Amino acid sequence: MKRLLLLSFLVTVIFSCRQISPKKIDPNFVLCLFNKDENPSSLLFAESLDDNEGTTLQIPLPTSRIQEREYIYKNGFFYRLSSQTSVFSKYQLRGLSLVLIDSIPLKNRDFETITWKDDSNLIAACRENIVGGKKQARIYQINVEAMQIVKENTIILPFATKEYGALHVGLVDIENDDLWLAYSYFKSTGKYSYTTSDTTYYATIKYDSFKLTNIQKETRSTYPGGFNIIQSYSFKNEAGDYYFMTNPGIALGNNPNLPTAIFRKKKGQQLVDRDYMINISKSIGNHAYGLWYVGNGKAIIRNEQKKLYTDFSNFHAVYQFEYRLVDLKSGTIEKIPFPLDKGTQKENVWSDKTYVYIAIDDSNDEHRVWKYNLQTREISKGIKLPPTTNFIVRMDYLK
Amino acid sequence: MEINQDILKKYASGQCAEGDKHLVEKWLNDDSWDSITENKEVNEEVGATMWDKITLDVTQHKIINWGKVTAAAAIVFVLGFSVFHFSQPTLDNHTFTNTSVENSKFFTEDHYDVHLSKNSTANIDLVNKKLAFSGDFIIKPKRDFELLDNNHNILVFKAGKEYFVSDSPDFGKIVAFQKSDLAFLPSNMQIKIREQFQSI
Repeated sequence: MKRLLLLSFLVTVIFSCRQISPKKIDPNFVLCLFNKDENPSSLLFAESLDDNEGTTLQIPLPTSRIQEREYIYKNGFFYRLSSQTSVFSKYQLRGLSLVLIDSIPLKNRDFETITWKDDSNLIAACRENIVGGKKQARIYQINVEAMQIVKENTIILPFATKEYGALHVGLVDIENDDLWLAYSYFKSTGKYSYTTSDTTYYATIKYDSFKLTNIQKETRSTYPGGFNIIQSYSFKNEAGDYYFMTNPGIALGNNPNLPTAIFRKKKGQQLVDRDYMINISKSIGNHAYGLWYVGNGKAIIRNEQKKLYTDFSNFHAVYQFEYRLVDLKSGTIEKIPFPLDKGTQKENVWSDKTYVYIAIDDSNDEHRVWKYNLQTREISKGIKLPPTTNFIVRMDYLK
Repeated sequence: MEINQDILKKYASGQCAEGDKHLVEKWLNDDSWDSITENKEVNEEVGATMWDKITLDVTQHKIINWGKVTAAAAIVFVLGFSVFHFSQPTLDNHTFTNTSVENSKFFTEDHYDVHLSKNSTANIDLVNKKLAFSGDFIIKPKRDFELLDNNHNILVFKAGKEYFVSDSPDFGKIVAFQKSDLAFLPSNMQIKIREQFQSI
């Protein structure tokens, strides 16, 4: 596969020099593409999502491994945790290369969920191996400018049962000196399958001492958040209120009798607002995965259609995913008439508060960014991605 | 030591010294983006020069004797076809077993490489186009072929691609996922698959 990379790398160099030379690009967006025929994944840098007139630059990644898309972008740098070596690395795009800037070793191999304390400090929650039968989460605060671990600690989280013993830490938030984690427990039901228990727990922890100060229970839905390097499940609005999603559908929590829902923790509050819940499954009759704020009290969700898939053998491959606009105040949900999308989890929604831009892989094998005008409710076409694309798995704003 | 074609050939044929074998496996398992950064930034002139050279070569050979070309092409075709036809290794029928409860096992054959997970067996019969197996494996075909599975479904395998094949009831039916499909399984499932097959 690495030889393939070299070949495609040379081809890219030759053609990029041939077509647009000298190539100067000041990209505003980067899209991560899984390509057809197991060709290496690639990053496509674009100046605009509106049309194909702006310059684009595509660079291949080293492999087609499934974790190539699991990176964090912040202020000009890409960050990545290796699941093989547990090394956390910082990269920058220079010319046609992602150049390694610095790296530090961590104890863990996967980030389960992350947030930013400020522009320089990443907070990452990992799940730890079981020591003495206790379920624990490990928290890192990494200063990404200095590339140093500022803080790291293990937190023992209560309420694991003998039956449901595996920990899922799905959301992390930090406000003042309080760290807040949302978690649930799951159990294996087969070699690969699992199901999540009926309860979500919210833990409040003093950040200076890592002392657990409060646990709140929620039984109306389960599997809070998820691996947010792959897809977003929370946001803060203009007022600083924190909204998040629970995902009990088969693609995440796999306890589909409970509904997908949106909850809220208001700014300055340690507890989740008991009186606020938008029951998505009840409204639309399907589970959803993914939550993106688009301004003015509205958010986008991405929902499955259970009538269109049979099981995991085709869940990701059928064109079933719809996009809906949720009014966070009234709870009304409105479908956006985009083509149906494929691919179970994707980070593919961005908004400039006027338009919502969503990258869709449709049933005509067209891979394109679509636009939705939040005022006029009209949809229109944006940038078209190369026909070599199989899935657009990420879309990040670079500025 | 650098990874080069000689080492890879030795590795593939099982003739690598233990130290080199370790290096190759480390290289294959490396999921960082560093291998890109090792290529120093490419001077755009390099690409432009290459392209100009190609264009130049093409224009220099514009005067073509089509008769000679046709004759040459016919000879090349006949020779190529006969070499291809007579040198193609015959289709085979192999059974692979991995009784280990901890480690996966790698096999390399004429028409495919197969990476069998722990506690799995597979009978790959290219002669009768049949697949009988239990457990899971990753297969990298070196030619295109189709196999009929235990449940009489036709699984299509294309040369150069990589497939995860499993009979686990967790997927609903026997699956032959292309590697990129695995990225869309729930993260907890991906972690379990990765524990068995580091290279995905």
